[in-house]
Amino acid sequence: MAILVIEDDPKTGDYLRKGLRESGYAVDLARNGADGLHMALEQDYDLVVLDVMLPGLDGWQVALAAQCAHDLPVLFLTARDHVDDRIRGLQLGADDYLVKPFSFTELVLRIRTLLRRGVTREAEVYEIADLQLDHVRHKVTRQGVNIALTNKEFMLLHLLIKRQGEALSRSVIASQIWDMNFDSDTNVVDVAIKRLRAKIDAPFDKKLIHTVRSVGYMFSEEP
Amino acid sequence: MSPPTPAVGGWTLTTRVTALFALMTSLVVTGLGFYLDRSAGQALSQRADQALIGRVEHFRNLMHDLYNVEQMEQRPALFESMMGNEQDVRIFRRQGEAPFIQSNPDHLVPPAMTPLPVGSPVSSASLRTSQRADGVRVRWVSALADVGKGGDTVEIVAAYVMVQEARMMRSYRWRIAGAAAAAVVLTALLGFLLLRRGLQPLEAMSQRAAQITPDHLSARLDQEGMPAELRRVALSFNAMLDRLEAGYAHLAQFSGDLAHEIRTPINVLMGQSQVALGQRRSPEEYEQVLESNVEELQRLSRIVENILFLAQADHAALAVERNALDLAEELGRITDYFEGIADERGMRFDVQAAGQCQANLIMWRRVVSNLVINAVRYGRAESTIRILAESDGEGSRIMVENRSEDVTAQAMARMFDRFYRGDRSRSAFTESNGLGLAIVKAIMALHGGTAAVECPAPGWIRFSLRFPSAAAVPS
Repeated sequence: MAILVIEDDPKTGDYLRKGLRESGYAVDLARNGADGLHMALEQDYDLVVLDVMLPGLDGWQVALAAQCAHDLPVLFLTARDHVDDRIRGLQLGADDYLVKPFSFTELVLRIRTLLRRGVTREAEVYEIADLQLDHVRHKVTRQGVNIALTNKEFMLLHLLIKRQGEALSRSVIASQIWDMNFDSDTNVVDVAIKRLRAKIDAPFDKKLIHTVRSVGYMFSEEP
Repeated sequence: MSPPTPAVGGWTLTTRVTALFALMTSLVVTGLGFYLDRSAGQALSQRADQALIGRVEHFRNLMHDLYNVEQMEQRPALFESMMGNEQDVRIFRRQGEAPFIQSNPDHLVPPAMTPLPVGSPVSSASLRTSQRADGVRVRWVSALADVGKGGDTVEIVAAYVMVQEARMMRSYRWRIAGAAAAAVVLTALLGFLLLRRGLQPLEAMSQRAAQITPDHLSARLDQEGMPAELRRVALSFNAMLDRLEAGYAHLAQFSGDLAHEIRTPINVLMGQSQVALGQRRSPEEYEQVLESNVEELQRLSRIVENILFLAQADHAALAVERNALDLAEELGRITDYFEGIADERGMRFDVQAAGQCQANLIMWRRVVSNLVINAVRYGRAESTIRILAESDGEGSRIMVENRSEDVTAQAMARMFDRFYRGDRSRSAFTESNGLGLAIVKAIMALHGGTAAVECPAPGWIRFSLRFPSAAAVPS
């Protein structure tokens, strides 16, 4: 998967390239709009991460020009969070939108979602290690023992398993499970995970729900 | 120290009013002077006429008592000296002949006159006027008189030269002009002094106002002893100062708090990064520092985001898109969300809700969440949080009540202030930055609604939100 990052701030550009490469993507970095547009048109990318406030040719113009040529998903980065800007970005066909300062983890999650869009199909039954989750029957067992979960706990576990191996940030979890789309400055997610762990992990030796420091939580067989 | 009063260009009120005063007085006094001059001139003229008429009648009577004209011709000096003034004119002649007595030192030419017939008395109407070369008025009369019983008739031509009157009028005019000038100067001067004295409170006011600076905002204008008009000015000015002082204090408090809230995490970031770089450390230690840095940065980022939100809300730049939302459903969602953390503190929710609310969904959730979080954080453990919501024609009301320690009225009044925290020691509590309720207030203002806090019963605290109905919302 190849990603083009167009970002004029040197430090931001460098860490985005480094971080995304470490997340397993092939990354090219353009430091201005004109170069970026040229690269987007010349080479084959799967996604463009685009800063809106670029000197010379700005992000909107780049996106417009690039999308005329290719059907390319665009993720905008911006320090401006006015509603008008947001609407403009989405009208221009921005597939997603992140306001600076954003969390890098969040960015990787959004990229992953954008790239995966339309590819995955929901499984009915998941089996990870000794845990089994039946999505249709709303049933969870571990080592054959039935585990009773509340509705929210089940949704939380389902989300973690569906995106196993991915570190999910607290805001993503809050948004997916409770539809809370703002940062509420609370440890609601931590408390919910703690309860889930008490039922899923505590009675067993092998731990499946892992804390990813300063990011969030991840469901994984590997410790 | 008070700054010097700035020099004010243009005319002062005092000079302006004084000048107007002087102008007005000079107009009135000049008018009066003209009137006096005219009436004095008329009076003198009447007196002169009377004198002339009297003399001519006297001549007539005298001549009637004579026997014939010759007696007159023989004693011209007698008749010549019978007028009061050397300038006056006396001419006696037989009709159509040269005068036999003539006293006319200035050689005045009489105007064309028809002599008054014998027997008809001389009156003012029969007088004529001419002017001497130097502009002095001369009154003329011509009358016929019988001499003795011989049937002789003599024409008397007499003139009164108003020399004395002219002289009197001249000096009188000078006196009027002098008096008028003095009156103008005097009124202007008195006006100036009175105005200066009358406007003294204004001067005092301006000096007082010059002393008011940002460091010295508590000074107020004196209202005692002020004229009513100025007292009103002072009152409104003082009221404005009250508002400014409160705003200024608020701003100072806000920037102080802001500096504290932002500097603390930056200080931690800088300090611990520098310490970490001071020597080689194990990967675990580096990880720990980075992790802590991320936490601090998240805190900073939240503060910045909240402040930006408040700044935007202050300028009402946010277009609020409203939808009708179901109160029971939405409150259910929120209590669902916070159920876990409430349970940790042994608290539970009691929700009674019905109806709809016109609001922006995301903002509504943020507002209500902030109140519920507060209730969970600061409410008494093992208690129930009551949430009530209802709507009527005027809008909808949401109330969040919880048991708490008693809160002073003063603390309640400040609760919605930015960075206000009931307990200063809570600044260690990274979850809260004291902006939650300020945001509640800002969001309610954006919706044209209100937020309030009260103490419904001892040991209870209640936050209530009032959203206006769709009809009341200005589009």
